[in-house]
Amino acid sequence: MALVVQRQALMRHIQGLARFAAVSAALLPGACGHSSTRESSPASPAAVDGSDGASSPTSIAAAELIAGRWLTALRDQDHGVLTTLTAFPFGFQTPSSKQRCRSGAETPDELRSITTCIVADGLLLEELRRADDFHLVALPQGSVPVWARAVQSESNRDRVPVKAFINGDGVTYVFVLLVKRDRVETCIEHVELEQG
Amino acid sequence: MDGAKSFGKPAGRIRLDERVDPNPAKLVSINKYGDPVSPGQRLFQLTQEALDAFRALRTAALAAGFNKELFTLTSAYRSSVRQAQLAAAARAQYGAGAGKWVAQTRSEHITGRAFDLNLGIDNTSSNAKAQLFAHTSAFQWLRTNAASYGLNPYYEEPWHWSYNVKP
Repeated sequence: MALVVQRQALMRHIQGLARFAAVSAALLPGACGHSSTRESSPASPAAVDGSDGASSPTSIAAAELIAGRWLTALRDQDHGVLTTLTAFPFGFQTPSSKQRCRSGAETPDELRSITTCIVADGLLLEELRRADDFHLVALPQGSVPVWARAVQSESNRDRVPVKAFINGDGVTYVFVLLVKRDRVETCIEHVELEQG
Repeated sequence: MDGAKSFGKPAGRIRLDERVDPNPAKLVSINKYGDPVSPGQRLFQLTQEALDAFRALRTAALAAGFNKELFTLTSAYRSSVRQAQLAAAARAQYGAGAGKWVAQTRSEHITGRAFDLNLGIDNTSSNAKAQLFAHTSAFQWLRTNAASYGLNPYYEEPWHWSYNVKP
């Protein structure tokens, strides 16, 4: 199983280089909004809506790119970009800890309140700034971590869950971002501190 | 393995009473590959002997065919001050439940002789509990070869290794 996981990771890396240009082009203003490239790894959903992919509103590669831009904007506290890349109503959850930030935003101002609260976690902000890679990967619906299963529902089948992994210094953060078309609709944050 | 150098026989995890900050002058600054740090790169620190063991291990792993992004550092020396900050921040922000993670003001990382490795899957407790590391070729290789470099495992965290040898 792990060998399969490693092979898939390698496939993603190789494919990621090839598809980057196509994804970037797809996200340019005036583009049709979906990429012609598609993940061929067996671990990846051929189409998140269960179709052959032709009508999928969010390609996997585009979803990973959007999730990365959203996290970068979170790190930089770029509220303009965050507003542009966020779908409203927006949801935020922190299942591994106290829900110290508000859980929903209907407006950009409410979103600002949430994102400001998220990075008020000094450890997270430090690790976001130190991370050279968010290790973004779109998840098949069946592979969403247990703590993020809330994003798995029939009504979310047209969204793409993207996982980000930030391996910090004694602390790790994992995010699952639910991407709907070209925006992030939900963010679930999971934190672990090392025992060793 | 580094043919000329013997790293000693592993002695198990570093004793609690030995877990103190090293003399800062004895810490060597490196990047995740164990090479000198370039501007913009994340900085790690290890004692010279732990760094020697890490470099030899990594060299052997790459010679065995592993990708150069595997067997890289994700964490190394963490000062007792840093550990206390982690503990305090976790308690403040994540509640009392954080205590199980951060009673580690005596972490092996304080010594500069422990490090965490990228083994190709996320270093998370859920992956450890699910025994996913045991199925990776990187961890299997490590389990077979790490002792040759004086390295000791920490079974709760398969990515965590410490350099500690018998006198």
